[in-house]
Amino acid sequence: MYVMIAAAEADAWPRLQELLDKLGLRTERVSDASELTLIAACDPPSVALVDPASWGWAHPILSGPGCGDPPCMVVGEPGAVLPEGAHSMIPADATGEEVALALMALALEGVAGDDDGSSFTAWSATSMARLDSLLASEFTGMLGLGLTAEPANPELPLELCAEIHLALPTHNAEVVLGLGFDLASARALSVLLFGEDLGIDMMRDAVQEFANTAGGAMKRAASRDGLTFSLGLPTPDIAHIRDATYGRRLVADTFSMSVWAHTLRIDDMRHKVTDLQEGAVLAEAVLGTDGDVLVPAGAVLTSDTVRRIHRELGPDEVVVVSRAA
Amino acid sequence: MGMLVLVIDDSTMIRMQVKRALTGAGFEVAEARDGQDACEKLDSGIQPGLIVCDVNMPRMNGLEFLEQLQKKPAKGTPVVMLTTEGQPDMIKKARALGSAGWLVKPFKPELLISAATSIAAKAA
Repeated sequence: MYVMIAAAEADAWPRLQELLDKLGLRTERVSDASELTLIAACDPPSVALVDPASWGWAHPILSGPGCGDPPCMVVGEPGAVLPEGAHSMIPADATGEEVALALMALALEGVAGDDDGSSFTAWSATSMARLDSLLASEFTGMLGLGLTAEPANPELPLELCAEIHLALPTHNAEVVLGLGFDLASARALSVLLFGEDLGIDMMRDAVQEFANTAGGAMKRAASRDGLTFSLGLPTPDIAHIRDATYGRRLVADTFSMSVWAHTLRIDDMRHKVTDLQEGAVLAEAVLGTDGDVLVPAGAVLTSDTVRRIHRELGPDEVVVVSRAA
Repeated sequence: MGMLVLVIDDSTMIRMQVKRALTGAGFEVAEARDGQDACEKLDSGIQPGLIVCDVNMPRMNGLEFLEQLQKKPAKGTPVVMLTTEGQPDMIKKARALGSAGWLVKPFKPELLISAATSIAAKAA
């Protein structure tokens, strides 16, 4: 997540800035209209925090063409009138956690368009806040050593990366979890896991398995909260790192691992059986000719499943998926 | 010679870790990179005493493999699922398809060895 702070006073809310830094969120500060126009046009923010006194010049630019109309939160006194166009207001004396959760919920607002969205939004905000301890604990179990969470370091090269998608077809939503290592960290990790540096191909595979492990941990945690995700297969991507709601580094003595998470709204897509691809997630169950469930909703398609649907229903039947492969 | 264990996982790292743990405990290990690869290996005649199988894999996943296994001469070979998944519905389905156990990754080698040893003892 990238937060734009628009405040006439250049060093407004130092406590908030400190908090955003601790959360590993990228921030930019602007104190007048020309600065905002220049920066936001080159690099549209995912969320904006606006000083009420700056709303008059900041909002027209943020909601205008080229800035992406990010959700805006105003930092104001309790009971103050919410300016038109603002999504929410937080008091200046809000606790750090309140601000963090409000920001994360704000960034997820686009995901919460359906009736069930609010539960997903609430879950996302709290689960992102818990992700540090969840992943640190999972990887401690995997590696047998302690990891601590630190702010993300955008300067760190990420030479080996993987992302994994967790789809939630019932809420038309998806969470993407990503992991990345610089080369020195990957080598150190190989030595830790295998006793020697086994080379780049093995570590590429290992990073994908780490993403798989992280995805599984998040899926199990969500399941305890009543949300059933479908876990995809890891891919060597960094497609969502820029927009990530969550960004951190998990650090051990000899290596560090960058972690990011992002939520997406996804729309159902109707595909003919012949166009189905491995990795897509079924939004609705596919019924066989006898009316029984052939493949349940939420299933991640494999080539074997696609063959089975093809055999049972033929090539022209239409199937609804919630994420294309 | 120890019992042959077929390890099915799309991750080379996991296959390597499982192989290291099991060979250290006296088992022989054969590897397959997904369910389809495992079916081909079984069709080619390998006869494992135990199968350790991931769930989420490309081409043919672990649950689909369990279904296919029912149609093969190797039907009845005990299968332990080793996966990041822990969804009760999925575990229930695996059990219904004949799975003998379910271990969640990251796995503890001693737990896997203990499961394999116990299955080997029953088979002996």
